[in-house]
Amino acid sequence: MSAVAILYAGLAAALFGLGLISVVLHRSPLRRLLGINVMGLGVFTALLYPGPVEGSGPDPVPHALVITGLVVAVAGTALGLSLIRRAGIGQDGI
Amino acid sequence: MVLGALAAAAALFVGLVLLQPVPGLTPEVERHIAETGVSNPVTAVLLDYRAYDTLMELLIVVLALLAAEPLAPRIAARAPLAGPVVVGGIGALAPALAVLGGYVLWIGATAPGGALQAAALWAAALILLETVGRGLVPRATNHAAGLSAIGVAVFFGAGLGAVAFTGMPLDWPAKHAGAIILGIEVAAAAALALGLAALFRAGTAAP
Amino acid sequence: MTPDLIVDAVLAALVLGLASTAMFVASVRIAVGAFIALGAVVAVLWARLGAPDVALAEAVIGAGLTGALLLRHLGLADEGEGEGEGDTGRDGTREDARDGRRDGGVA
Repeated sequence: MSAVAILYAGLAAALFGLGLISVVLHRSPLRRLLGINVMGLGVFTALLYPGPVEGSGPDPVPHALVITGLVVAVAGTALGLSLIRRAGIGQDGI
Repeated sequence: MVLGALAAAAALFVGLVLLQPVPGLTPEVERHIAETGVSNPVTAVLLDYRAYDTLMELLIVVLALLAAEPLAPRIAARAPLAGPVVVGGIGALAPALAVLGGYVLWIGATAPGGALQAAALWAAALILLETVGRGLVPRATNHAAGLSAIGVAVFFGAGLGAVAFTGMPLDWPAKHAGAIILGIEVAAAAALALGLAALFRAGTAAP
Repeated sequence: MTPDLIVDAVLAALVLGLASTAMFVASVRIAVGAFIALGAVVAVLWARLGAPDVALAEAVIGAGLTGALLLRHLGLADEGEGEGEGDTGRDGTREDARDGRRDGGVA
């Protein structure tokens, strides 16, 4: 296990954990949406994580998976923001 | 709850560190890359090996738009920006972004880039035009989603048509795979750009 | 430590700092700003992981489009508030005080 692999594993876990803590602690829906996005960054980093693959360079299959995931995440965020505005939570929509 | 979140993060870390080295799918991707007509392995995965995923992703964007658009707005959109500098600047920037998107789409066959990145650049151009009141995205409910769906239908139709040549849906005939992928990328990127720009605007009334 | 590892470690520290700010700072405005910066730094990290396609996508979609969506949401929230309460909150002070109250004890 190389130092760089441990670094990226820790980073993925930390991003996921920070996002999850934010989702369960905050009551503001916008802050929760930010938390879900940061959890997503952690999951994507885990998918791109160089640790377990050996041999010829980075694996393009998880790369394609993450690109697809990014587009789905932005569509979900846009829908979430529309719902937050529609709900008019806290009058100011935040 | 915080302890639970910390435990989940710790489990993810331990799981990642304990993963045993595996060969990965790189050799498989490289073995058949000549049949895909593109040399960028990520584009080959997105538009050929796993074209199914990309098709479903486009459907998700159209569905998200269909869900977001009818939410009756509580807030009117801002009046368009005015003034010669901002209008002229965006008038010059938007076409440049469109050309850059086209380049990113084209270069995606052989180098980092591709339809999804191009779609984001085109969506940015559409959004910028919207801010100066020269938007190209139709305002009427469901029209943008309908136009997006046309792009998805082109992708779907091509995938179905492939059955006649290879016996498998979404499996392009190797001889023309490069051209087919380029055509599908253009349709997919246009649908995605329109969908993302309309999602950006969803939930606000016309100014 | 190799120079590569030092660069990775510095970027990772930056990512952790920006993510913590985006999650736990009291002002929602600063949180959104930190989130956009986080997207940009994460894109650099992914490029260093040998994933330039993903890095490009994250830069334009994750940092760019998501950032634009969030900033626009904040702007709309300001205007909606301006109509309803006669306070646009543009100076940010009232906004921040309210965020502080709602998320009290988290920061």
